[in-house]
Amino acid sequence: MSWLDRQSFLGPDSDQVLQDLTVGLVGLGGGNSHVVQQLAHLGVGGFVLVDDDVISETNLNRLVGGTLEDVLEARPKTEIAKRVVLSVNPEARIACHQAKWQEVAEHLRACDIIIGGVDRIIAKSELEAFCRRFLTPYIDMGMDVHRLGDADEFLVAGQVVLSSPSTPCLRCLGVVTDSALTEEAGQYGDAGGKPQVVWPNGILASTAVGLLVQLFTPWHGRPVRSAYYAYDANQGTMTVSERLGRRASKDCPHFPPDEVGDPRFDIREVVTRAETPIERGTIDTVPLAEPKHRLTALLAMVLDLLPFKVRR
Amino acid sequence: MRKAAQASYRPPSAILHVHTHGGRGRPGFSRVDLDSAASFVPGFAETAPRMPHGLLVLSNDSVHGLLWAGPDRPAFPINSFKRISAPIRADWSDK
Repeated sequence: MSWLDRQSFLGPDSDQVLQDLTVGLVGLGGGNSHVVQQLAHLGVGGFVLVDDDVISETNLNRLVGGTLEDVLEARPKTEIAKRVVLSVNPEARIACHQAKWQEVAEHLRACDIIIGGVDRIIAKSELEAFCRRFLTPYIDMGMDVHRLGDADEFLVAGQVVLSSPSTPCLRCLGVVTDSALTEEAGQYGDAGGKPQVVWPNGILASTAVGLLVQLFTPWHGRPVRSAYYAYDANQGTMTVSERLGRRASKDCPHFPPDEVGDPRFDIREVVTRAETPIERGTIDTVPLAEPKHRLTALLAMVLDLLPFKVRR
Repeated sequence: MRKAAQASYRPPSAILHVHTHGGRGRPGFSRVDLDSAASFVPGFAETAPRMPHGLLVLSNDSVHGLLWAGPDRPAFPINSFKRISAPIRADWSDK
């Protein structure tokens, strides 16, 4: 009897596949606080949790697992997520990084998939570019509240995108646009807190988790590498965006297939480092893949450079 | 082989010589495979010294590989392959 028995329809080896999985979560606010909780219940074994922020009072309306005591303690969001995971699965491998993701990008390379819970368009764009370079599937979630005309009415909407290597990217799908980036840059420092509420985050997060599950332990015969779901909370609908259908058969012009891997990579330096004793920092990390040091080769004939980093 | 070496020059890319033995299950390298690799892998390292190079052998349902981190270093086995598709499959040789 296993605590995962009720999800055995995910496949005879699904427990092990999920246990071996390492998921990167960037941004642990509203959306990813739901995601991390669900992944823990699913039995996902490895987490790389990245957020430079601490919980504040205005996060309490939506950050699953956050408490008033956490606010009083100014607890890092990563620590709250870690606590949520360990309360379900004490065996989980968790690496917490209270930092901007760019500062700990090397640790994110160890992930099988990355889920972004970032608000800013530029952040989505940069995180996806990182994922494309290291052939890591990326799931993006976004939620917005729009005022409808002058009336005191609002549209609550959002989207979930699964972006895999060689599939339509966020630019192809219109989630990242030059005009949105320009508008956002103009608002920098002046935007204040964007409206956010808990229930759309829950729906978007559940959709994201479903996409992850179908990618690694599919329960049907048509798993997808690319998806774009548009959520309309006013209509109560989650629909497949037509834009994805229009772009699905076209090559992504934004991420050419040969622009992958770490351009600074040098195997000679890796060998030198591998022969040097490890210096451990103060970051709270748990080895993600020991003892099976990862050396991943891609049948797509592109070398994933991650394994050499982990091999140290 | 020459075209592959040229393509690996910029951006620097690993060169993996791939062939198939057919059949099922994890394949292995023959003595001929290993002897011939000893002659051409060092050439790969001259073209793109920043990258590891090596061999892959396929069966109909599995794969095995060796990499060299440098021309004077011993080969080591690739212990994981990941197929970036749908579904994503990881094949761990050491499990």
